[in-house]
Amino acid sequence: MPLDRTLPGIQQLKHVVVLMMENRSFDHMLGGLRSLSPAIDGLTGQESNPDTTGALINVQPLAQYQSQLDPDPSHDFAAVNLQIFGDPSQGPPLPATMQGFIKSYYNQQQDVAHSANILYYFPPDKLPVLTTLAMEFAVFNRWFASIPGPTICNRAFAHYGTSFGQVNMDVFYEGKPYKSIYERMLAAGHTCKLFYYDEASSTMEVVNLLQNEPAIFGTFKDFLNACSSNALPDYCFIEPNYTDHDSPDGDGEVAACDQHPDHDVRAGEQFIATVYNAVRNNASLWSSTALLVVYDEHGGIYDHVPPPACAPDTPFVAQRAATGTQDAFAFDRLGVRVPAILISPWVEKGSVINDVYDHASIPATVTDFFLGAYDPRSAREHTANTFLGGLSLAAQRPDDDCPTFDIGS
Amino acid sequence: MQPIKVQAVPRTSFNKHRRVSDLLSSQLRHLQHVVAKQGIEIDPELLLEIQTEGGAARYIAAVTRAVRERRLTMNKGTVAAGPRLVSSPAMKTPLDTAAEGLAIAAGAEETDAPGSKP
Repeated sequence: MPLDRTLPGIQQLKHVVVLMMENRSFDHMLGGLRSLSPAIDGLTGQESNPDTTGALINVQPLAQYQSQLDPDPSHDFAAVNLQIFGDPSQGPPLPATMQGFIKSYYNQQQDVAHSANILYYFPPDKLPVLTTLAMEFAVFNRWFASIPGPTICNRAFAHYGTSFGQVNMDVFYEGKPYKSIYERMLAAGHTCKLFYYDEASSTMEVVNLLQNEPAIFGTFKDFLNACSSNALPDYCFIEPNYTDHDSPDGDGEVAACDQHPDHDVRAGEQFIATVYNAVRNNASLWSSTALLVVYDEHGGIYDHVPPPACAPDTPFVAQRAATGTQDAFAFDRLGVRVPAILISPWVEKGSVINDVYDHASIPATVTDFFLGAYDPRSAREHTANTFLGGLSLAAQRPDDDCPTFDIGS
Repeated sequence: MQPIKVQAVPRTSFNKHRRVSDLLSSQLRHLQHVVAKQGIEIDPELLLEIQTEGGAARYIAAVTRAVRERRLTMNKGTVAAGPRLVSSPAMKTPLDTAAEGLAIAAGAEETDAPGSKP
């Protein structure tokens, strides 16, 4: 659906900010919200998976901030096949039953009791930041990872609208036919930045963007400074901190805040709140910015919604040797559902969006809003829905109607 | 509306000696690809603890800085004279385990073949 540019929120819009977190499924983080808002397609508590003894194990609100999902749950293409279709070696025409998560996690440690952890989710009060943002702004019921696979190829869809036929982590984006969203923006005279946390965390987009377009990068401190000094670029993508490490500038120890298992989820809550507060606390930015908080993929963690088919990302096909299964992959189905929240004072409180999105929607949206018609991009991006239509209110919500966060030290 | 309290993160959550995940291993491989391609010489000290998050972060910081500076310098028209040595600051952390360096992926090429476990 074309963007209605007569909407007041769209007419005021100057900045789009995307924060992409790591490796948590929709039900794991937001599934408990169904009890607060029935429109949110979360968990009833009756959802289950069989374990390796054949017992049916129900989902439970017992997720912990750290140490529960250790080892890191598998989320390569074959493992996700098992999680969705019950068979690691094949996908369709097997039905997508979403019954293979416990069996997949069991494969890593052969521990029946531990394998049930993959079905645990957070009760809303344990995630005050994500819960607040989801209840106060717009939740996407149908935002999926772009492919049923791991991080780097999924993040590629956010940068390029495609992973150029890759389904694993050995991806080298050199000499590829489509420009990244950053290259497109710069070529058109717009401003953009990819903010990594610091140089010690760096970016997951190394081989093309870091190597060939170093000027587009900044640090998280740069983002905060840009917000406070009214110097925010038109488009910003933020990467969280991927490691526990000593700060390169001698500021002490820095905790990983990406929420990738086994990093403490609370650090990610603090990070999301910090990004939100930076925009929220500048009245000019708050009125003119759309913030999207999204996760790159489900990290092998349970979700109850079968991913849909989609238009193939022609001409790209991953052969069997790449998928590690008996099937080639035409990029004609999406990955598992992930949390995604659209934030702006122009978004109606408690909105729930039911159209289908994946990470190609990010460059599609930014291109559509800032550049207009643009042809040289992937088939997947051409067909992706754009998300700014959620800024639909006739008037901006009052300041005291929008939350702020008090971040603990 | 009262500000919503965000929980503090306990100090015990922090562990820079945590073994790197497959994601971080992939990031390191990509950085090593660029190091090899650009002929950046790496201080061997930076590879000693690369299997831990803290050690990997030191390597990542040094290489990220070197790659960016090299390209930004080239973009200004001043060609870098030969390989650059990337050195580490004085390391205060004692080695806890025997060092395992990651193999340098010299001249890694695009491939559709599966890499190591994603």
